[in-house]
Amino acid sequence: MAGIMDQTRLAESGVAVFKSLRNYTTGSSGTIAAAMNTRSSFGAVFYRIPVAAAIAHATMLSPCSASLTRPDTSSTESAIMTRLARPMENVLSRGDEPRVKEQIQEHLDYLRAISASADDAPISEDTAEVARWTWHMMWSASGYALPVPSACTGPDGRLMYSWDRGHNHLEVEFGPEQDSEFFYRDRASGQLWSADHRAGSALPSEVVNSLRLFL
Amino acid sequence: MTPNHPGEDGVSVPPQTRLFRIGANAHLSPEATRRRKALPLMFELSTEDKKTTPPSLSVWAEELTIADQAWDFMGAKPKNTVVACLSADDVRAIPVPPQFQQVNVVWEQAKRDDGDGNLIPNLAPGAEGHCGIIGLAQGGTADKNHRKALRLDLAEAAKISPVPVPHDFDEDHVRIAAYFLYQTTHLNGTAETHWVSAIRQLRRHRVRLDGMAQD
Repeated sequence: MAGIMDQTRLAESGVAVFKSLRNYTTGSSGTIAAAMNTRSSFGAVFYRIPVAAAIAHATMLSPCSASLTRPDTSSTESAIMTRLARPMENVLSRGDEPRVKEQIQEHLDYLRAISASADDAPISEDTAEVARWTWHMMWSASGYALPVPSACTGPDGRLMYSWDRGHNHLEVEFGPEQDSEFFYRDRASGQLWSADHRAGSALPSEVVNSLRLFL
Repeated sequence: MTPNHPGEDGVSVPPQTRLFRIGANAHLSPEATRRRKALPLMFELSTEDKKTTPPSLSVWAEELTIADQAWDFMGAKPKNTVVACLSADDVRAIPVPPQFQQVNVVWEQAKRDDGDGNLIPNLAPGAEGHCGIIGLAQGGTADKNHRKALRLDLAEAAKISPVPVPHDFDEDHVRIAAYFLYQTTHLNGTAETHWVSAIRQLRRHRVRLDGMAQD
C-alpha cells in the first residue's frame, strides 16, 4: 500500500493523463450529504415552550408514578427541555454542562430524523417516542446524570440504546408493538439479566438499581 | 490466511478471514458515531434472516467484496453508511454456554431479487464474498439472555470502519491507484477489477492509519 501511496504522490502531476482512463468506473463514488442530525438551536427550541406547561409535563413524567400514560412527542421533549434549562448539578461538578446539553439535543434530533414520516424511515414515530420516554425516565431516575446513550437502529423497525462503563453493559431495545427489553451484562462476573418494560409503566427495579453503575 | 476464492455453501471460511457487515437498516446516533462503537443491534437477525436454514447473519469477506459493492447489492441506500469490521477468528472465539454450538462463519451464495419477488443467485462481480454467521439463533425461550450475549460479543469484537459507504476517496486518487495496479499486475485483470482493487487498498490503508492514530 505504501507503494501505491508513493506512486500516488509521484503521479499527481500526471493526473490529466490518468483522467483519460474514463473506462474506470465505480458506480459508487462520491460522498453523501450528512442529512441526518442537523442540529437546531437548543435555546430557540427551549424558549418556545411555555414554562408552566413544561413543568407540568415534567411532574407528570416522574418515574415514581405507577400509572402513567404515554404523552405525545412534544410533551416528552418539553419535559426534557425543562430539565435541561435548569442547572444540572450532576454535570456542573465536572464542568460538562454545555457539552451534555448539546449531546442531549443531538440525541433528540437523531430520534426525530430516524422516525421522520417517510416510507423508508428506520423506525416509527411511536417507537421513537417510547425510546424518548424511556430515556427520560432513566435520566430522571439517575438524578439527571445518566449519559446520553449510544443508539442504533436495526432490522424490523427496532432501535437500541446502549451504555458501557468499565465491565458493565446495559442495553434496551425498542420495537413496534412490543415491550421494550432491557439487558445487562457484567463482563467481569458473567452475570446476565434481562427485564421487559411496557411503555408507560415504572422502570423495572433492577434497571433503576443498575443505573449508578453507568454514572 | 485470507480467501481468494469462495468455498461451497456451508463450508467454513478460512481462519483470519477479514469480514465486514453493513446492517441493512443501521443508523448510528451521534454518540455512537463519536465512540466508533458497533452496537449489538447491528448483529441482530432480521425476521427474514431467521427464516433461512440455518438462520444466518449476512457478512462479506473483504478480500472478495469491497464494502461499496456490498452496499450496492443492498440497494445503495444513502443513509446506510456504517461498515462494521471483524474477523472470522473473532467470531469463532466467542464463548458459548455448554448447550450451544460454536458460532461460525460459512460461505453462503449471495442472492438478489429478480424483480418479481424471487430470490436468485447474485452472480455480479464481488458477490462471491458473501458469507453468513451461523449459531446466533440457538436455544429456546430460556436462552434469550445467552443469545443477547452472543450479539453483544460480536459488537464488541467489531470495529466501525473509518471509511463509510459509499467511500469518500478522491476519485483521482482511486484512478491513480487503479492505474498503478494495472501496471504492477502485468496488465492482468480488467479496468473494473483494477478499480475495485484500488478502492480495497485505499480502504485498508486508511484503516491502518486509523489504527495507528488510535494507538
